[in-house]
Parts: sequence; structure tokens; C-alpha cells
Amino acid sequence: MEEFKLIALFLCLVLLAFLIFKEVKRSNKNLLVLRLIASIIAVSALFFLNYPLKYEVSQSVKKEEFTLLTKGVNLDSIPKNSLPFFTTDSGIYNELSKNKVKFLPDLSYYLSANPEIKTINLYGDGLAQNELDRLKNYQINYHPSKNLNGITICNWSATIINTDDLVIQGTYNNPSNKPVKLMLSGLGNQLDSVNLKPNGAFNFSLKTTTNQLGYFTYQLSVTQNKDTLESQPIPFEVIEKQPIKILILAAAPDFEYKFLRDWLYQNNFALALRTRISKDKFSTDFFNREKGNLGNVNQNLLQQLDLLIADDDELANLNSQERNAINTKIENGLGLLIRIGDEKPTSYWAKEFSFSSLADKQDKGFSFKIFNEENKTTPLTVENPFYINAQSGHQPLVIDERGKIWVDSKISNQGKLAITTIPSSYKWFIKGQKKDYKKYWSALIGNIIKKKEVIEQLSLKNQFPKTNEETMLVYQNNSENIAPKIKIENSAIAPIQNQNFPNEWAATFWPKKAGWNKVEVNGIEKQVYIFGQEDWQTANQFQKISNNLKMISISGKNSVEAEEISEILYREVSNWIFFFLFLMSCGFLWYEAKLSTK
Amino acid sequence: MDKMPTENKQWIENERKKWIIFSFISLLLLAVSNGLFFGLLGILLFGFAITKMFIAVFAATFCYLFIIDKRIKVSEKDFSVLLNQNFPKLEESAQLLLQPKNSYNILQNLQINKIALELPKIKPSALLVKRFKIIIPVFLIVAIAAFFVQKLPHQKENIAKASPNVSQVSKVKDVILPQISSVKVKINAPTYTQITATEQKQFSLKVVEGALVKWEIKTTASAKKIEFIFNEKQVIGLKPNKKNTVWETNKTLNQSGFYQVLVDGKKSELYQIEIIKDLPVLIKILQPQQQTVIDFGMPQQIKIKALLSDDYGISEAYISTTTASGKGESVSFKERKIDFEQKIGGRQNDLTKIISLKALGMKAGDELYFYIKAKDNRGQESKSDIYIVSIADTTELMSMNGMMGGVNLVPEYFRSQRQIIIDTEKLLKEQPNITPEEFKNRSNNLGIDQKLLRLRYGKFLGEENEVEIGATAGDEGHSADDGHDHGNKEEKKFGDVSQIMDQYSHKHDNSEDASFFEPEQKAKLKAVLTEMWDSELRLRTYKPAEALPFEYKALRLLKELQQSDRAYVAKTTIKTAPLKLEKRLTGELDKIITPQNQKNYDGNQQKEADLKSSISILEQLKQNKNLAFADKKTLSQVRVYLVAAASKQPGLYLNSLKHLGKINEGRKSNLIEIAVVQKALFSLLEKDISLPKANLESSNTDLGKAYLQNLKSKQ
Repeated sequence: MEEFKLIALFLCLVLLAFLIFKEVKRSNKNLLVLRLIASIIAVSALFFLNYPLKYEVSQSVKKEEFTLLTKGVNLDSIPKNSLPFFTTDSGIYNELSKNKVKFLPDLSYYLSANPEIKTINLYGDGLAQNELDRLKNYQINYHPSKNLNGITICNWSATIINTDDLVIQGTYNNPSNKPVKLMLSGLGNQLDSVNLKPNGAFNFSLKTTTNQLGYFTYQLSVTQNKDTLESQPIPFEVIEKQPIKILILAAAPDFEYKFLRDWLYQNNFALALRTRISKDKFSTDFFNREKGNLGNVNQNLLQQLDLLIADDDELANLNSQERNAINTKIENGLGLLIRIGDEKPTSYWAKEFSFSSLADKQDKGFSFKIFNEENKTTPLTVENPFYINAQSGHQPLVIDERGKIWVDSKISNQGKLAITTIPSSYKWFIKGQKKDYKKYWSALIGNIIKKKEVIEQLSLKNQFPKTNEETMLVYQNNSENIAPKIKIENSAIAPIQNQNFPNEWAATFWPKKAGWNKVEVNGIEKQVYIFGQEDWQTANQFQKISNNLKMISISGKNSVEAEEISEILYREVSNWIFFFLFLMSCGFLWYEAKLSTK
Repeated sequence: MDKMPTENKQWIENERKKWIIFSFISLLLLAVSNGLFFGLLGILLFGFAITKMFIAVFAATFCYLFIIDKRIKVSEKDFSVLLNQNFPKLEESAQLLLQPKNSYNILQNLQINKIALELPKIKPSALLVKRFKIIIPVFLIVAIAAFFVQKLPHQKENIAKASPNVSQVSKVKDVILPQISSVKVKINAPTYTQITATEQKQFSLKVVEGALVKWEIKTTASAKKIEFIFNEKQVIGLKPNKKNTVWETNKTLNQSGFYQVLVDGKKSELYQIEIIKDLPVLIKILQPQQQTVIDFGMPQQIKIKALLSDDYGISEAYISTTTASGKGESVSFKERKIDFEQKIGGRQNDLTKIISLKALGMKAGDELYFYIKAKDNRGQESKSDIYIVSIADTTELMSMNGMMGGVNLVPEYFRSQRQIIIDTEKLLKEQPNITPEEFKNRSNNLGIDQKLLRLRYGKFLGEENEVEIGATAGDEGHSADDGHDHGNKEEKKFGDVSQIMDQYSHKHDNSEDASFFEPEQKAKLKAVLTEMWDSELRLRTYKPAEALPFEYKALRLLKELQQSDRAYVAKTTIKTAPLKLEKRLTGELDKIITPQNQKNYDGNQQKEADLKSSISILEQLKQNKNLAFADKKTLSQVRVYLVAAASKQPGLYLNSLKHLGKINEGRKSNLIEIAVVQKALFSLLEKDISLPKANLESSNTDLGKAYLQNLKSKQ
């Protein structure tokens, strides 16, 4: 079309040039200027008759609005002029049918049947993810329900190692003007509680120790003036501790090793202890494990080991072969704890740390702050105190009141190295401060010991999976590429492999029973918890609202609140005008010629 | 006019009645106040019951006052006299009002008419107002006091009471088997407790230790056999009467636990037995301190003050003393039993005793160890801590023993205090033979010596001296024109900056002054200085006898200082022969075996494991799951632990044992009952659980490893 337009334009220009030439050559020059103008108008009108002139117009357009109510809506908050209301929730329909609420069985069907609808006013908790996805091309004005009253966020770890703490943290929204009390109870005990102030959202944290094994459901209840506002289940699983294997290499027998040995023995750790009693002569002890040969430290000996404890002198006595064997194991995750007696390190590993002696003696002893422990220890006397210099990339495990480091650790490949300058922690034990002794060694060993791999893991994708809702089960193991056989409550379901992580499998199912549901994976029975419809309503509501807000802010369509929007239109100038102009100018040219000829 | 006399007579009669009533009220109030007052005295001083005392005193006072008081029995005539006396407006004519109408003469009539106008203004009862003004406040005060005394807890009353306040009523509610129509349990507490026998109609027991309990069970129909099972171990059969409807047995209970009634093989629920233990006598020694030193000059006696209390009664209490005398190998001990001044008995005793150390034959340097031993009326003995009283040994201080042997670490200045003491004693001895002036002079000189010594020691503490030590004595009292040469005073050097600065500066941290003493030694030195101050004060005020104790104390403290110094020095003198390093570890070792040792720990792991898994099993039970056979077995195993715990602490564990029994029988239990069992089992688990454990990492570690390898290769 454009080419024709150009050709037409060219032809018109040629015509115009011919006409102008003719006019100029014409003898009668009385009305030359007028005739020239008339010629130009005639030619251009001819052109625009064929190719009409267009222009832009901006215009504000009122959009068709549509009000959708979802669960949790408060009718008073909706302006009455936005009638009629629609809902897809039969519950709301039953409840509010008097208020002219119309029920939509299928939202997307209705919307495609009414293409004029461009804006959706969404009230209440919002829509589910899949419904939101279908509304991407609409402008959504979202009005979330306000004044959520209850636990809005709550988290805890679903799997706990035996003797670890169960920690429950979350946020409670208390719009009322009275304080509320959150109470954690389980096994017939009231385990922990916290009082929350009125008027506002407050974070809370509750803690309790576990020593049992298996699947448990504790209760988190909220009370206000003895009235129970809500009571929510806290399901979790307590799993057995992984067995730990420790090897101790001692350059000489001493009390520190004796007490450590007895303590580890009585707590059922698998322990091998090699004490040098003379040149190439060792005394060996095996506790809670079978005998073996400890004469030579080799790969074989270190194979199943989780932790190696040795003094600096003994490590210096090792030959290069033994040293290499230990280094290889540290690379693969073995922990090494070095006890050092003076400021001059002799072994290969201890040289990675540097030391300074303490100028003044402290008769009262030192109170230590142990990593991850809240309270300081009781004072411990140290005869030749010296400390470790701080270095970047190191993590101190024990510091004293003045911030001097006494136990330091660093990562070495997958394993960890730690060094302690506290020579006689057993004095705590003798003085009856067994708690401090246990804290000290638990922190040291726990921090550097080889991490245990989780062999298989079963979890649900939602935080609060409910009955009669689609739920995704995620299973991870360490044997890839073999599809697990999964049965839930005795009915088999088929898992799908994750494309990025071949050891992860997922399966969807529709749980029917609230409470612990039996899941069999490759014949091994496990349990997952499914919540009832009434559980964690506020938290679910909060999650849904924030999900909606997030989705809408991503699509960026919630920002315009205006009821009218401007639109740009193209309009053509009417052909009649050009036709009229053409007639007029041609008529003038013809009539003028007539007049001049007279 | 005619009516007037009768009206007037009526008026006087009314007023008399009022008077009598008010008088009676005042009398009553007085009697009540008096009764309450004595009642209060009785309760506060002697612990009598307030009501008895009150009634007795009230009755006595009331009767007495009623007989004595004439106001109540006042006659019309007397009353009119009273009116005349108190109201001049009646113009001594009140008695006229009483006369019959006809007997008036004209004058009397006129007079009556005159005073009749005044009558309404006269209020005889006003005469009693003064009386009430005193009586009512007294009554109120006494009544309020009595009210509060009555409300207060009667601690004194309890102590004074003969029988101890021990409740033998178990608060547990029982469920009794339907075969049993009634039960009668007689509890006879041991006689020494002085608790009267009680009777109850339920099985759960709360009794004093050693109580004899007698059961009498009546059955609805005749039973074949009734037995009691104590702590699931001991079985006791009951003896029936002829019809087999009344069964009896008795048992002395010494241990907490529980029991069950078995009627023809049918078991009842578990009934709790709670034993109230008899505690031994509690001994509190209020005086003296655990370590007491009697210095020279202090009275050689100690006062022992102790508070003894027991729950049922103290039968015996005495002080057991041991005196240790002599030194080294010739130490001899003597033991004695000393009784208190007070009589022992009752449930609480405030005891005192003054022991004269001289009477015990103690000399300077001897030590007395004592403790109090007491027995309650059950025969349980208890002992207090051992307290030590020692007499400071002045002769030891004076002896040269420490100085003679071994290394003489004692600097010269330690001897001066001893010299001062010797001189003081010598001065006191010679006092009768010398003039008072000389006595004063010598005392003053001793004071100066003491001052010098104090300044010397003060130097060790870095104290500032007012004068140079050596120069003090000589310079005292000097002036520019005292007639002798003062030696060559050092000429001030012109331009010596340090000397000029010294004049104005105030030197503290002299390196010389910073002493080498430990803080403890410093504290002792300070104490020495204080004693020296006190001694000097007395010497300078010519009271050497009073100064002597302070001198001794100063010397004793100095001696202690010296001892601690010696111990410290002696330690450093040991030297060992140097090691020959080349000879180390060169011995023949082929005959030395390498010891090997292997053992497996087998504590109470099975119990812990059972308890842990049983809690989980119960959690499953909450969900109405059917238990597997193995789970049931674990639960019945766990019951053994719970039985053991319940026989020790039935109050804590009996309830859960009942519920566990119900669960084990396969009956349906509600959530609360299961939770009770879980709680009990959880509390049986070990509490001390901070042990090292390995952290978990995700199973997908290959990816991480590959990442780490890549990072390393990039480095």
C-alpha cells in the first residue's frame, strides 16, 4: 500500500507541477495567486480523497468493573455502589446470599463470556495460586481482609535429633486491647509459655527439650483471660542420634584424657584411646567397640571415624604417611581436635594457629563463654594460661570474659580443625560443675565432628497440608535413579523425578485423614502429618493474603486505582471535506477561466 | 393546771427510767470491756482461749458492778435529790413533784407551777454523757484489739499445744469395689508422736511413719477371700468373721507406696499410702561463731546459744566438748558431756550455756571443739557442725622457736613488738616500786617506741610518714634555738629542679613503695597497724595495763604474717638433679607388653530405650491406633519401672500407674489419661542430656562436593 501511496504522491506532484507551469505560462495573470492556491488545494484534496488523513485522539474510557468476594471478606468494607457482588465460594454464597451475592461456578468461564470486564475488585483473603494465574491480563484491585487475629506465622523444624530442643517461633497478631498468653503443652506437661502485649503484632519463641523418640503432636494454645482463643497442633518427629566414633591419641596418660574417656564411655560413644607409655609402646583402650590395631594410624583405622582428638606432641610424633592419611580424611569431613600444652606448636596442624601468653596470672580462674551457650561457665583455674590469636576465617568456640580465644576452629576442606588451650577441664568435673564440663565438651565435639548424611528424607511441600486438598510429598534419598515405591495409607502413588536433582522424587495425593498418615517408602513405614480443616486458619489466611499481594505486585496491576483510564485513538478526516474542497477549487478554476474569457 | 402534778410526776418517772437504762448500758459496756481486756491479756500472755477468759471476767465484773452500783437501783426520792443537786433551776423543789396533788399548799403550788415551766429544759440523762465519753472509746479499743487478735494465726497457741499439728487425712478420693459396702480404717500413730488415734472411711492413707493401721471391711455379700497387695509385691490376707461379711487385718506402715484390695480375685484400683516422715531434731547454733579466738585479756568463757526444734518432741540434748591441749606429739584430748542450763522437752527449745574454759582446765594455746547432739523422742539422733574455740597462746608468741631453727627469714623488725610487751609487763611489775612520774615517763617512752614500730610497718604498706623514721625520736621537740647544734643541714642547691619539684610534689607511686606483698598480707599488716595504734594510745595515756591486750594481738598477727612468709619461701628451695636427655627413652623395652583394654557400657540403656519408645507408643494410642504386639509388650515392661517409682513416690506416680493399668488391659482411655501416663514416663527419663551430637547434612552432597572441587581448582 505504501508504494502505491508514494506513486500516487509522485503523480500528484507531477500533476501539480504541470498545473503550476500552465498557470505561470498563462497570459492572463490577474488572479494568478488565487489560481495557484486553488490548484494546490485541488491536487492535495485529490490525494487525500484516496489516502485519507489520520490523526491521534486521546480519550478516557470507563472500564467495566467486577467485584469478587473471597473467604474472610468483611461486607462493611465494600462500597455499596459496586453491586452486584460475585463469589466463587459456596460458603460465602450461603452466608451472604441475602446481600445480593451471585454465585459463579467457574470464574474464567464467566470472564471470557464477558470480555468487557477489565478490572476485578478482589475482597477477602484472595484467590488460590492457580486461579490467580488465569487473571494475569486483568487489572486487580486487591483489598485484603484486615485485623487478622491469631498466629499469623509459625515455624518449627519437623524433624529433631533426640535431646535437641524443639524451638517454635512465629508472629502473633493481637489487635485486641488485652494481653494474650501462648502456651506450649505436650505429654501432659505445660512446657513453655509467653505473654504477649495487646495492640500489635509480636514475635514469640518457645522452647522445650526432647528426650523421647517417635512422632509427636504438641499443642500451642492461646489464652486470653482464661478463655482459649485457639489451640493448634505442633507435629514433629524425634529421630535417634547417629552413633559417633572417636579416636584419641595421647602422648602421655593424664587426667584430662581419663575423665574424657570415662565420660564418653558412660555415654555410649564408640571410643578408641591410644596412650603412648614408652617409645613405640602404647596402651590401648576400646570402649563400646571391638578391638583393633592402633599401632599405626592409617586409612583403614580412620575409615569409620568421625572425630580424632590428639595432643600436639603426639601429632608431631606421627610419620609422614600417617599425616597424609589424616589429611586425606580431614578433606573428606573428619574432625580433628588438638590439645596444646604450650605456646609453641610442633605439629603440622597446630601451626595453622598462633598463640600468645597471658601476662598476668588469675587466681580466681577464668569464666568462659562457650559457643551457642547463653550462660558463662563457673571459673576454671588454668596454670599456664595462653590464648589463641584471632585470625580471619577462623571460628572461636570458647572465649573468656575479656574476649580472648581459648578454643579456635577452622574449616579445612570438608572437615574441621579445632585447637584448645584449656589444659584441665576435668577440674569442673571434680568440683561438681559437671554441667560446665558437659557443655564444654559438647560444644567442642559437636562443632567439629563429621557431619552425618541424611539417608532419606520425607517431607510435604506445604507447611500446613490439609485434608481434601492436593498435597505434594517430596522424598529425597541418596540412591539416585531408582524410583521409590511409595504407599500412602496403603494406597500406592507414583512419584516423579526432579529434573535438576535426580535424588529427589515428588508425588501428589489427596489426604483424607487428619493427623498422622502412614507413608510407606520402599516398605519402610514413616508418618506425615495432615492438618484438619480448622487448624492454623489464621496462618493459612495470612499466607494466602501475602501470596496474593505478592502475585499482584509482580504483575504490577494493583497500582492504578483510577476508575477511568485514557486511551489513544486514530481518527480519519472525513472524505467529504476533501471532495468538497476539490469541487470548490476545480469550480473556481473553471469559473475564473470563464470570466476571463468573457 | 389540774393535770400538771400528774404530768410532772410522770415526767420524773420517765426520766428515772431513762437514767436506769443508760446506767445499765454503761455498766454492761464496762463489764464487756473488762472481760475483753482480760481475755486479751490471757491470750497474749498465756495463750488461753479468749472466750473462756472473757466469760469468766465479764460475769464477775458484771455481778460485782450490779451489786455495787447504786444508780440502777435509784429510788424516786433519791432521784429527785439528784436532780436538785445538779439542776439549780429546780430550786431544790424536785421532790414536790412526787407529792400527791392534794397535799400541796399554796406556796408549794406556786413553786410547782414555776419549776414546771423549766422542766422540759432539764435533761438528767445528760449527766451520764461524761461517763459514756470514757466508756465507749475504751470499749471500742478493746473490741477492735480483740477482733484482730482473734483473726491472727495462732502460732503461739500451736506451739503451746501438747499434740503436734499433723493432719492424717488423705485428700485423694477413692473408688471402692461394689462388693464392699463399707470400710473403716483406724490409724494409731506411734505413742511418742502424741497424736490421737483417728478413723476414716476410705482406703487412701496419709499416716505418720510407724503408724499401726487397722482395716475393717464389710462386704455386701459373703466373700470367699479378701486380700491386700502392697506395692504389687506383698500379699496380706484378711481374717473374716463367721459369716464372711466382716474382714479385718492390721499392718504397721513405714514406707510410702500403694495397695490394692482383692475381693474374690477382683482387683480394686490402687490406693495411695503416704507416709509423713519423722524428721530428726534441727539444731541451729546462734552463738558463738564457728571459729572463735580468745585473745589475751578477753574473758575466758564462751556463751553457747542454740535453737532446737523437732516435729514431735526433743528428748535429749547436750553439748559434747573435746579439749585439745599440748603441742606436737604430746597433744592430749579430753572429752566431756555438758548439759544445758534449761530443761529439755517439748518441740522447740531455746538453749543457752556458759562454759568457763578455765573450769575445763584449758590453758593458753589449747583448743576446744564442741558440737551439740540431740535426740528426738523416736530416738533419732542429730548432730550440729563442730565449732572451734581457741585461746591465743602468748607464750608461743614470745618463744624464739621459729627464729632459732632453720633459715632465719624473720627480719629484725619483727622483734620489737615482743620487746615492747616485755617492757610493758616489766613496767607493770615495777609499778608499786617507782614514782608515778617515772611510771608515766616510761609508759610514754614505750608509746613512742610503739609509734616508731608502727611507722616502720606503715612504710611497708606505702603509708606516708609524717617524719623520717630514724630521725623521729631525735627530732621530737627540737627547735631552732634549743641550744645545740643541729648538724650540717644540707644546703639547698640553687637550680636543682628535682629538689624544688620534690617540695611541691606529692609522691605516691614510688617504685620502692610498691611493696611485694600479696593483698592478703597487706590486709594483715593493716590489722597489725590498727592494733599498734590502739596500744600506743593507751601507753601514751599512761594505761599500760590496758595496752597489753592490743600489744599481744599485734604480736600474734605479726607472727601469722611471719609464718605465711616462711611457708612461701621454703617451697622454692628444692632443686632436682638435671636430666640427661640423651639417656631418655633408651631402655630395653622388648619385655614390656602393650596393655589392651576393651569394655562395653551397659548402664540402664534398656530402661531408657523402653521409656522413650513407650511415650511414642502412647502418642499413637491417642490417635486410636491399634497397638502391635511388640508395643503392648513394651508398655507392660514400662509398667515395672512405674511400679518402682510409685512405691517410692505414690503421690506423683500412682495416678499414672492406674491409667497405665487401664491401657494395658485394653480398655479405652481418654486423651488426658494417656497424657498423664506420658508425663510420668517422661519424668522417669534421664534429665541430664547435654551430649555432643553430629549435625545432619542433606543427602544430596555430591553436588556440593563437585562445587567445592571446582572452587579449589579455580584457586
